[in-house]
Amino acid sequence: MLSLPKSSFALANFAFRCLSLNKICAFLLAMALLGAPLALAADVTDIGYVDQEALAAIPRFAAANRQLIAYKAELDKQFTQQVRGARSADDQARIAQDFQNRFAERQRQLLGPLFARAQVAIASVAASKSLSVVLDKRIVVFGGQDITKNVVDLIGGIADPVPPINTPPPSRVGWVDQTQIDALPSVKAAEQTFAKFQADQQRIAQGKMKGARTDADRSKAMSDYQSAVGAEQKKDIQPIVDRTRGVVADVARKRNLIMVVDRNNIIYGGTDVTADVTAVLK
Amino acid sequence: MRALLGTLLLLAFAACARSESTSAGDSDHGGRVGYVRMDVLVKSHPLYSQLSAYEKSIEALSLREIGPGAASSGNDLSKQEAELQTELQAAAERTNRLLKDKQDEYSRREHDAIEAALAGSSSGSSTAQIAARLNATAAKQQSSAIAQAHQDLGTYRGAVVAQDKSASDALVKTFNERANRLYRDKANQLQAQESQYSLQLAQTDAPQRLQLRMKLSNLALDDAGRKEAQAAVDALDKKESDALAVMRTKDQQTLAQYQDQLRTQTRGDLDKQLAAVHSRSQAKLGAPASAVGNLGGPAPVSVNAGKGPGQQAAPAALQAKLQALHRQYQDQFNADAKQTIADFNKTREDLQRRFNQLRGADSTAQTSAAQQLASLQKQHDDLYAQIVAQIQREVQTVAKSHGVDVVVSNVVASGGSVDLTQDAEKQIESLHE
Repeated sequence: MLSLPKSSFALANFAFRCLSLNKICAFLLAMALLGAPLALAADVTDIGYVDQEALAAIPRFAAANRQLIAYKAELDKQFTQQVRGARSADDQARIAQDFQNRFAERQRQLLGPLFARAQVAIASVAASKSLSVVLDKRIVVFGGQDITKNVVDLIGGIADPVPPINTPPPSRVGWVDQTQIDALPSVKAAEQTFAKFQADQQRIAQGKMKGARTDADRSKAMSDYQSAVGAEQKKDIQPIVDRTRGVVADVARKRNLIMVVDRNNIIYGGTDVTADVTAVLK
Repeated sequence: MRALLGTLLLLAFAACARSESTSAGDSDHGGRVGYVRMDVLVKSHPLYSQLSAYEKSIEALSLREIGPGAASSGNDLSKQEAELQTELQAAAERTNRLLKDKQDEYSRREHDAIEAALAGSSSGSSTAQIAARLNATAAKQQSSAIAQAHQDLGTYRGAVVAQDKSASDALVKTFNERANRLYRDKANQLQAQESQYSLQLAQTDAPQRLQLRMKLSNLALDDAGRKEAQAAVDALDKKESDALAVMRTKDQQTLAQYQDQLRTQTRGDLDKQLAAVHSRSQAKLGAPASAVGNLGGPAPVSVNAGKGPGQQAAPAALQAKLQALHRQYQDQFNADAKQTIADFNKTREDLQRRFNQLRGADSTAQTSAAQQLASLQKQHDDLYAQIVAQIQREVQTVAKSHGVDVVVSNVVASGGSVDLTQDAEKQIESLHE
C-alpha cells in the first residue's frame, strides 16, 4: 500500500555504509520515533457519511414532520392575526419570539426522541465499521463510506439500537462550534454592529422600493442596498472571519488534523478543537 | 540484534515514506483527503449568472413584500378606518341635531299657528292664511334640513369615492405586479432551460471538439487536413447554434403566448375584483341618497276652507286639523331621524366590512408574495443542486487524477488535506467553451 520513495532507500544505504551497528540502531530508532505519529495517524479510510434527507424520509420522521408542519401552519395563522394588532416594532419582535419559542417546544416534543434514536443508531453503525468520524453527506463531494442504509435499517427496526461500548477513536478530522465563537464578546459586538447596520439599510431599501415607480428604480434601490451591506460586511465581519480561519488553521496544524469543519456538518465523532480556537481568539 | 535492526529499518522506511507522501499531499498532489471551496466553484459554473439572478429576485421580493413595512399596513388600515368612521358618526350626529332643532322649531311654530288660528277665528283671519303661514315655515325648515343632509351626503360620497379609487388603484397595482412577476419567472425559467440546453450540447460535442482541436494544434497537419478540421469545428458550432436558435424561437413564442394569457387572465381577474369594489361603493352611495330623498318634506298643510269664519265648527275643526298636522310632522320627522341614523349606521357597518375585505386583499397579496418567494426559492434550490451535481462529477475526475480518495467541501480550515479548488475550477471553466 505504501510505496517507498527512492530517497528513503538512499538514506538507509548511506547509513549502513557510514555508521557502526549501535549508531545505526540509534539512528533508525530516532527516525522511526520521529516519523511514527504521522504514519499511525494518516489512515483516512475511517471517514463515513450519512444522508440526512434519507433519514428524514423514514416513516417515523416523516409522520412527526407532517405533524410539525400542520402545527406551524396553525401557528402562522395565529401569528398573522396577532402581529397585525402590534402597535410597535418591539411588540412585533416580542410576538415573533413567543411564536418561535412555541414552535421550538413542539419540535422538541415531536422530534427529540427520534433524534436520540437516530444518534444511537449512527454511533452503533460507525463503531461497527471503525469509523472515527461521520459527516453530513452534503459536504462530502467524493469518496468516504456511505452508512446511510445501515442507519436507516437500524432506526426502522423493531428493537432499539444498542449504543456502542467505546467512544469513537481519535480522528484526524476536526470540528469547531461556530456558535461558541460567535458568543465571544469581540465577535458578538461586530455581529451586532453589522446586524444593526443591515436592519437600517433594509428599512431604507424598503422605503425606496415602496416609492419606486419603475423596474430601474427598484433595481437601483436593490443595488444600493447590496453594495452598502457588502461594504459594511467587509469592514465589520471579514477581518474576524479571516482571523478565525487563521487560528483554526494553526490549531489544525498543531494537532496534526487533515481538516477542520463546522460542527453542523459533523454527525458523529471527529476531534473538537473549539476550546483551542476560542482560547486564542479571546 | 539483526531482527531488531530489521524491525527498526522497516519502521524508519515506513515513517519516511508516509512523511513524504503527506507532505506531497500538503503541497499539491498525492494526499488522500482533499477539499474544495464550493462557493468558488459554483461561481465559476456557466449557470451561475442564472443562480445569481434568482438570488437577487429573492432578496428583492423579500425586501418588498415580507419586511416590517408590510406588517404595519394593518395599522394604517385601522387608522384610516377609524378616521372615516368618526367622520360618518359626526355626520349622523349633525343630522340628528338638525332634525331635533327642526322638531323644536316646528313645535314652537305650531303653537304660534294655533294661537294665530284661535285669534283668527275671532278676528276674522281665514284658515287659508294660517295654513299658508304654516306651510311657508315648514317649507323653510324642510329646505334647511335637506341642504344639511345633502352636504353630509356629499362629504360621505367623497369619502366613499376616494376609498373606491384607493382600493381600485391597490388592486390594479397588485395584479400588475403579480403578472410581471409571473412573466419574469417564466422568462427566467426558459432562460435557464436554454442555458442548460446549451451546456448539454457543448458536453455532447466536447469529445469530438477536443479531438478536432488536438488535430488543429498539430503543426504537421497539411493545409487540406487543417481546412477539413476547421470546417468540422465550424459545422459543430453551427449545429449547436442552430439547435439553440430553434429552442430560443420556440421559447419566445411560448413567452409571447404566456404574456397574452397572463394579460387576459389579469384583465379578467381585475375586472371581476374592480366590479365587486365598484358595486359595493355604489350600494353604499345609494343607501344614504335614498335616505336623503325621503326627506322630501312634510306634506303641505291642506286648506280646509269649507267652514267660514265665525262659525262654531271652524275653531274646533282647525284645532283638530293642526293637531293632526302636528302628529303627522312629528311622526314623519321622527321616522326620518331614525331612518337617517339607521342609514348612517348601515353605512358604517358596510364600511367596516369593506375594510375587512381590504385587509383580506392585503393578506392575499402577502400570501401571494410568499408563494412567489417559495417558488423562486425552489427554482433556485433546484438549479443549485444541478450545479453542485455537475461540480461533483468534475471534482471526482480531478480527485482521481490526483490520487485523492475523499473530497470534502465547506471546510473551515485545512490541515494536511489537498486543495483541489483551482484544478476543479479549471475543469469547470472548460465547460464554458
